Amino acid sequence: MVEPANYQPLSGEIPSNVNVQEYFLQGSILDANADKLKQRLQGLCDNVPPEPFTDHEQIYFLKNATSMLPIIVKACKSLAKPSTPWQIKYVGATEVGEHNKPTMIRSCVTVAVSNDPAQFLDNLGFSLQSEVILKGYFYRKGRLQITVSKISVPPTATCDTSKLEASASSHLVEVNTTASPRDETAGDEVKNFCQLLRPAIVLNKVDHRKLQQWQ
Amino acid sequence: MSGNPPPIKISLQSLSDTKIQEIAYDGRETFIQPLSMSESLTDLANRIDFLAENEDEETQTDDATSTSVDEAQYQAKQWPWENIRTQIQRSVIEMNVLTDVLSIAQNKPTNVPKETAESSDSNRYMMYDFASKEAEPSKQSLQMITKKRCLGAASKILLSGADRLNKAKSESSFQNTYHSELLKLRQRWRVRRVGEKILGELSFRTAGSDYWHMGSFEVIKKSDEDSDTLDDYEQNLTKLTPNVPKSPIKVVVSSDLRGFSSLSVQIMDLSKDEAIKSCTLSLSDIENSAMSSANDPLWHRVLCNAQNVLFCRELFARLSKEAVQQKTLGTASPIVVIGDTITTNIFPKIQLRVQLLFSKTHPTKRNPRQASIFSIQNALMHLLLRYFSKRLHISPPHPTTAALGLTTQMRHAAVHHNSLNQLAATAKKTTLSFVDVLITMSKHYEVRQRVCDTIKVLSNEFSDPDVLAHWSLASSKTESSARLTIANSGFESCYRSAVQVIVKPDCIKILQRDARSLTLSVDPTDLHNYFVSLVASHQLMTVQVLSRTLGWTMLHVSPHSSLGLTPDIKNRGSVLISSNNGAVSVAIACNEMIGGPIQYTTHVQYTKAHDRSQLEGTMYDDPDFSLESEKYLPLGGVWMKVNWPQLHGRHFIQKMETLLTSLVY
Repeated sequence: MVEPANYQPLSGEIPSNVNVQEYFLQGSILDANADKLKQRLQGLCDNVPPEPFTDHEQIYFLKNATSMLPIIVKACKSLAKPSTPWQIKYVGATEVGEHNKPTMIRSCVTVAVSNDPAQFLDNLGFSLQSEVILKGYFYRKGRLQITVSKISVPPTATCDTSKLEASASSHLVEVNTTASPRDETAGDEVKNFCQLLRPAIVLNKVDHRKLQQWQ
Repeated sequence: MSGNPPPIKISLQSLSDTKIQEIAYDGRETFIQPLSMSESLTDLANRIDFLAENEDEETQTDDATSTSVDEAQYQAKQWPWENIRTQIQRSVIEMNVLTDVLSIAQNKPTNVPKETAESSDSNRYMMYDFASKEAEPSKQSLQMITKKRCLGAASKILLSGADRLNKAKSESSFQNTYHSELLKLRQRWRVRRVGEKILGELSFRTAGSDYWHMGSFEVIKKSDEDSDTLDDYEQNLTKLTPNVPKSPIKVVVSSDLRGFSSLSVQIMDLSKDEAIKSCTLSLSDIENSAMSSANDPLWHRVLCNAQNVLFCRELFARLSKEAVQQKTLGTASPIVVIGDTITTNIFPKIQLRVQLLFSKTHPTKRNPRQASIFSIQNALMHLLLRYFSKRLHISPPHPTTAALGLTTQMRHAAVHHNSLNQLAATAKKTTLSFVDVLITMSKHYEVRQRVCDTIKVLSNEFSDPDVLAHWSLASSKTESSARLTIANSGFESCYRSAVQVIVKPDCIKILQRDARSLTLSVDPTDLHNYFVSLVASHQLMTVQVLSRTLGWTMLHVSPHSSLGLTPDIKNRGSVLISSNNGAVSVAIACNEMIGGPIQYTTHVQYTKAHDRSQLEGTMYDDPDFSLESEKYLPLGGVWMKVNWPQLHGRHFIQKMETLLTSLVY
């Protein structure tokens, strides 16, 4: 019998309405100013030391028959703690929304897998689009997750290096939380937190489609 | 040339001969030619020293004893031989001194030290003398004067500096103290600036709390006119220590945090309507001893108090939330939450009451008679802190896309095999019920109290065997143990009973010496009954051991033989023994009057030949135990009842020893 997607037998504390909506804001900061931002985050976030992480992310695309947009799946592996299981994250299309929406929204489902899912995804018809290594720090404030990370190319680079070089002198900053689609406050929570980071970094909604048009 | 002849003039004339220079071997003489006139003039002229023409006379007067004054004069004149002259002069002085010393040493009497040598005939002596005698004292005084002046100058600089500092301090404006106070506030509390306002936070969020109250406060600069006025609450705060330093800062906390709060935990006896035990829990109790001092400014007290209110409310909120969710937790009645009170009956007639107290005025001192249950107070505090830290220190997700809020075991469990028990164990660790802990602890407290009381009553009631209780130091919040030892004084080596009493929240477990374990209910009468039977069996066991050592034979032992003659007497066992030759039999029955002490009934049976003169007066015929009655026919012989008060001995066993020994011999 196939369990429903919201069946989570192990996480007793997670509410029954499953968190499939990701509210997030992204931005970048120059390396020179990254330390200042980290100090600020240390003060604002929960009173625990920031967690260093090194993640290897592989992004797979599957052509969608019904839509122009492909189906995106990220396979992530922690290089800092190799014993932890792989995670596959399905990422839906990003909705920038109107002005009254505080953050960008996308649906996401994450699941832990025991082995490298490359073969499995390949069999399903996914193709590896790009892969990156994110190295940085992870902060937490309540249910908000904040990552400040440096993007670098994995040793066996198969992706387009020109984009990475452009972002090489800066850190990627992402503030996100996963909540149920009915949760109205999650977006505001992310937005309010980003307000506190000003003027060190201004995190705003970015329309990814427009970015692609400029390129 | 002495003598008196007239002086005769003798003229002496030099020979005109020239001097002979040398005589050769052949006798020829070589003469030195006399000087001509011009040559002799040159010779004379050569002898004249033109540079030192005037000193000739003085050199003649110069002698070896010339003084240093002369020396100075010569030095001033700087004549060419000066150097050599001074050297010679010095050596002459040295020589003089040496001759002086030698002459004195030659004439000195024997065995007299040289320094004080004093020849009686010549009155001459020698002593050392310091050449610069007067220079020293003058130097010291000079040093002192200079030192004095230097110190004076330094002190002047310091004094002027201190004056300046004092002036600066006194001149510091109201504005400066405001900022310095604000700095002090920032050292103790979290404050941030929002627009024109200064807002702070006193909640426990940074420690991991998730209570809804934000606990925010505002810092306000006091104006001059309202700097001295205090409202009722602040007056209450400063009541205990009136000399609070004035501060230009005022903090505004929300009105629900302005007050004195504490959490009271009481164990009530409903039958008497009084608290058996109670304790009040408040953060300020702990802070009073550790963190705060009498010199703390008013704002600090206001904030500390507000934080305490928040702490008590959060703890109570957690307790009441759990109490509502879990209706019964092994309690006698369901948990009832009404307003600020949580009540439940942990045992029949014993109520646990948790109350959140809040008042605007300073609470009165606690009744010292009600000793606090420190362990409950401590445990609640500890639980809350554990809860906080558990919330805060969740395992970080790796990779970062993994779900937040899972433990490391859960993450691994997602992809690795686990048995159901393993999964259940990980889930069990994460649950942490406050109410559960509180109820278990108070139940244990109550049961322990009951055991204590029973043991106390028992040792008072039974003076005969000594009952000793040793409470173990190694105990936990929910389990403690005691070791009971029962022995007769003087017969400790004969027999002693020992049991281990383990007090648990819901039962009392007893481990006996024979490795049997009993589980008793928490009802005190149960425990009392057990203890009475324990004492009775101890006495009978001692009798058995004693009779064996005295050479008697055991005929019959029964722990609970039969009903007593009257229903209010409980039989606690009986023993039948007979002497070695079978001439005498003794039957001992141990009975307990309900609500009374243990009684011992002893009957003795003789053969006719036995000499009973020794025990005259200690036995009598029992009217209830007459052999006329048909039912006693199989017993045979005459049974006499022993009159215990007549027997010699301090306690039952000692009397028994007397009886047994006197019956045999």
